[in-house]
Amino acid sequence: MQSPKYYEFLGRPKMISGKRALEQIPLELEGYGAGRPLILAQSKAGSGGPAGTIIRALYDSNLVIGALYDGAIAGSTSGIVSELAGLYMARKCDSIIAIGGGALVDVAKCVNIEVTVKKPPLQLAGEGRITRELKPMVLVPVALVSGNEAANRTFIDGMAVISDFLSPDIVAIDHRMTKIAESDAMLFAGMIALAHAVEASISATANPMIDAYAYASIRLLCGHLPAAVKKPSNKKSSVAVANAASFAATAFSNAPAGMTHYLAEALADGTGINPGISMGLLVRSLLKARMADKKGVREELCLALAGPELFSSRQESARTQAAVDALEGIFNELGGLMPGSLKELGVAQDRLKETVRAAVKASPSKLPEKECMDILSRAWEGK
Amino acid sequence: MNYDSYPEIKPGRKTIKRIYIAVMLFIVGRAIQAAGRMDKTVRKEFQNLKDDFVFALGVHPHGPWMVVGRDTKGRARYLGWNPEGKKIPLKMSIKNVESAILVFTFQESTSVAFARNRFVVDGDLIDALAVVRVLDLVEVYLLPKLIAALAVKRYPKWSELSPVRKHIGRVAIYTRALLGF
Repeated sequence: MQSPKYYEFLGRPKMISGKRALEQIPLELEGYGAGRPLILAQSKAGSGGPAGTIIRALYDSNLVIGALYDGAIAGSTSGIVSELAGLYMARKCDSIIAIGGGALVDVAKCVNIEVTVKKPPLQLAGEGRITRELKPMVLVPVALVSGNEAANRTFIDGMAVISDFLSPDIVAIDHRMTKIAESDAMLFAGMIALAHAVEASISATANPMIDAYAYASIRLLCGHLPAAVKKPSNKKSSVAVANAASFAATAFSNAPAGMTHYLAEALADGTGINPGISMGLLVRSLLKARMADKKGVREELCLALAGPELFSSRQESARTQAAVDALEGIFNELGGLMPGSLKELGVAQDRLKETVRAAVKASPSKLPEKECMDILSRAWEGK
Repeated sequence: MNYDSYPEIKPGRKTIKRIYIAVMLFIVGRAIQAAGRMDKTVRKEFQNLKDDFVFALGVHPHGPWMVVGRDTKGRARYLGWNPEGKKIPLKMSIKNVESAILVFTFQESTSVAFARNRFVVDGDLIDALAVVRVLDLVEVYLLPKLIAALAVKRYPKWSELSPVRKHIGRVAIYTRALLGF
């Protein structure tokens, strides 16, 4: 490993994972001087639902739940954010607990912006426009399906708001929550985490901290993703995938979004295909393309994908192949649960050019159009 | 949005679990006092502590607690369940009832719970580690080997605590703990 000449890294959020992790939330919030959270949950309160579980977990604490919103949230829009910000203010809440993933967490972050900065979050769309700490926020993952939940960004009305202050303060991963995720959600979360971790690791800004987070994320995914997708109620595997997704999100927060991210987002906008699935296919094609070009892949990433035993048993020149084989191994283990190509998903070949153009346009850095097309074509063919 | 549909919720109490923990703390507290008289290692640990040393072990934020101190002769003394109004240089709180249940049902040993950050220590960490060593030994005396092995960091070898000494100590500690002397 080379010592970097210069780098910056923000290791946020604090992770609490494992048995009785939810019960640690009250004391953690006390540490922030908070004790009256607004809770946003993914389903209606009931003895078996996440809302019921979190209420029971908060028993015997100094904490009072200011309000519990347990309605469905279809998307992160100004309307729902404004209503929930009103609820937060009316109940004199001082913190937010978001249970779930996807749009619900985007909404929770936007509510946090609105109640702290006192401006509609849409006005702060863009990067680095929030300049102060927000209210304490706890994320309790079920499945981190968008890859942004534990990262430094949120979306409102289709616009991204990016700021270091948007990473949750605490991520509490508990099997009582992760085991209720559905198989599809687990697959999307795992594939997005894999793509984000791989892309952060091969980005120009990669540094030892990004490598450490990416390594942990990729190793957990290699070991647990197929089992978690096949049986999300498997406590050990579902917790491992939630951890991997959180680590990948932190790596992603500290590196620029890469080619597969923008291509998958553009494809999702054009076709409605979940970006998780296409990111998974694209990242596999990206690594294969690099191997074919003899560009190779960084040793650190080979180690993460192949694992220490396989990595150390191979010659230096064969390590990229070992890494690609290991990645292929995950896809093989997933079998029919993971499509083999974009073609299988019904993407028309003539849509690829349009997708590349949209991705290049969306990316703030100049994406190499030719390389994007090559990778997208490979993913379309399943190569 | 009708805000009245989303009322304030005051989380309840886990009464049965708290009663169980209170009973365990009472037994362990009295057993520490008894072990301080019966076991030379426990006695030595207390003699090495400061004269006015008192520690409270309990559950954050509403208890229950046990308070144990060192008397003027350097012996351990159980000072009851209420830390209120006492000068306590070392307060060891388990962060919540569920973490305390993990410890007191021996699903997690004290040292593992410490390592997993389930305790908040307010006081001298060196004294806290002495208390953990004492707790480990008391558990070895109180519990059958099968359970104690789960509760302590390392179960003592024969050379450190012979079965004869252990069984005699166990009877004596239980007797003293029940009678409170």
